[in-house]
Amino acid sequence: MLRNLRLLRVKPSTSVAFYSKENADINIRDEKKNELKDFNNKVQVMEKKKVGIFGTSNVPMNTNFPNPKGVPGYDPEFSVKELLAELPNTTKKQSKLLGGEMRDLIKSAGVEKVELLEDIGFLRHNEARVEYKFDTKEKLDLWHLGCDSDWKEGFSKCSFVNTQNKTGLFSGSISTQIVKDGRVERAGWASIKLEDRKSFNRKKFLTKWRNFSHLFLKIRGDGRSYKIMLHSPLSMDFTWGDSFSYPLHTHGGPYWQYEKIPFSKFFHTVAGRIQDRQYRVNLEDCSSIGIVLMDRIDGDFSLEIDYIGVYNDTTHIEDFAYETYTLPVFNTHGF
Amino acid sequence: MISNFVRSFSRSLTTRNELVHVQKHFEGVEPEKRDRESFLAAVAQFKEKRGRTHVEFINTALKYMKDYGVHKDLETYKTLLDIFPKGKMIPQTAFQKIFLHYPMQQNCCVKVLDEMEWHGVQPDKEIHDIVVNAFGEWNFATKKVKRMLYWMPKLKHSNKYLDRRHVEGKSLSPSELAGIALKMMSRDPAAAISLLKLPEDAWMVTSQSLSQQKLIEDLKTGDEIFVDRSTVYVQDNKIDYIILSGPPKLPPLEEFKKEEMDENYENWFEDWKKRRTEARRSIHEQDFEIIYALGALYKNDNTTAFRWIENLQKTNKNLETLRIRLRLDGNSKFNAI
Repeated sequence: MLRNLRLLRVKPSTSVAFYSKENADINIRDEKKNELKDFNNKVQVMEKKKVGIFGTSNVPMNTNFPNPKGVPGYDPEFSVKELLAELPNTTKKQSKLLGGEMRDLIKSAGVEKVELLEDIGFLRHNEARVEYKFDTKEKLDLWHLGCDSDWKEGFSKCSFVNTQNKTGLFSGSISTQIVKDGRVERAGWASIKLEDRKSFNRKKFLTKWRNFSHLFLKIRGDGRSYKIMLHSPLSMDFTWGDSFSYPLHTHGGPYWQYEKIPFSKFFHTVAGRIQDRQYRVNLEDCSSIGIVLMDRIDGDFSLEIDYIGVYNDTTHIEDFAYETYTLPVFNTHGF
Repeated sequence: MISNFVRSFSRSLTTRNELVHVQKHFEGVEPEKRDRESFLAAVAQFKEKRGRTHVEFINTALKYMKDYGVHKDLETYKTLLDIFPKGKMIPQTAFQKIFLHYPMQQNCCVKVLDEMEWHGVQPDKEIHDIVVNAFGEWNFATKKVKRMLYWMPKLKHSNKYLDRRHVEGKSLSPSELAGIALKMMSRDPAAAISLLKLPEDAWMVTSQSLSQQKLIEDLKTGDEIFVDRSTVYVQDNKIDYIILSGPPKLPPLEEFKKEEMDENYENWFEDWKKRRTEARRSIHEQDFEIIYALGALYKNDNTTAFRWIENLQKTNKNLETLRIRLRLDGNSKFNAI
């Protein structure tokens, strides 16, 4: 079943969903390789495209997602030499993560299991849980940062730093000016994305939020409308672009904004495009949160974030905010 | 077969099909005369000729929409899509329905609709009917417009802080925009927003509530307060505003209380007293500052801000006794009056 067939895409304008810092490094590495190629007189004007049964579209459809990052030209392979050079760092980092996990496991060895209690209804009205804070650099490092100029696809700038109020400040400027390379058709985005993983690169899912009704943020914006994305890529390639989104409107000004967004209002998107078949966000599949700005407005932006968490409102009984309509059987969608 | 269809689809996305003479026509118009009328005249001229190069013409015209300032105009998009011939491209057989019938035309139509979506132009039933008449009820391009018609109105009013009907499609003066911005930012429902018109098109907008006036009254002689400058967006309008604020008096609010299952009533009096003071904290007493007033000025410099303060003194007598520091002028950060 081709669930995410999106023939109406023009260009993967929100490659946001797949952004990662490592990627930027790999781009640089690729450049070096290309230089080598040039030196060897093996100039490749354009790499020969692979022709598959569904053609050579570079649109990340389910049949031709190039890689988990969803980015053409992304190559996660690197030489054994580099691997060995990186080994001590990796070992140190991973063993630290593993140690932390083991400690948590011993600590939570008691009879009382918070999530189990919540499942059977011990979660009370007005209860909130703060999950992500931005007071230290370590906590900020969990968030990856990117904008179109990092990909040489635009001229936006962005940064994410700690402030003296122990908050995180996501700021920069958006430029919708297009790079004239004949490929890019849209530009102007900036994004932060959570890359919080367990040891040995295992995914951390947002399962423990499943009983809460709202996503809860304390922010201070600038009047612009951002977008929250709950990314839920799974193992199959047609889920790599999956995310659940909802706009995050800010009122701007000096007052803090406590924003509660019901999970029932998140709609299903793939690479930023809203899908026809909608279903409620499944937090057990979500492994990352992103905040994106792509409002087609040129100029500076700033979003101060104090924390991100969840909130429970027992009066919110809505399961899913959108009706799920069906299309006629004999139409293009079926294929 | 399949691959041919899809490949032609993808190629039409990557390559631009444009006509040189159309491009010349759009380029030929002087930059000053580039407006809606001249754009529509070009479209009308093309229609008169009954040319068959619809796709090429639309692709070229689409490129110049922003130049002609019509990229946010729904009517222009309608005229552009109206170029497609009616009826001829509606799929008749099941085979045509399943595969991309008239791929170039449909992709071109999708491109126009996508451009519309990008610029936030809300579609209506008429534009849906135009596409249906050209491509049929459930074709690719029609589905795009149906999706837009379904989702865009749904999310149009999701912003609870700003009613876009007050801003969109209106030519607002800077003072009106500033008023809208202050209304959006003032989180105290009791805040009164006032506009002071001065001679020579000068204006000042102030947002202050009674509780903020009370907070100023409570300040002691010689206390320091600041006037700072910041910016906010009202849709795509960037607006400068000023904040009258001072250092906090209370420690940051404890937002979360750890609630125990068995309640402890030993210190009930202390708890009750604490709860009372907490409830009395106004919204203006933020974690790291107290906000005494918000404002917007026709000119953002210290002299204008001083006039604003003078005007504010009429309602806040205590301001005279305070040390006010204006920090609007870029480099000189601490200018005492």
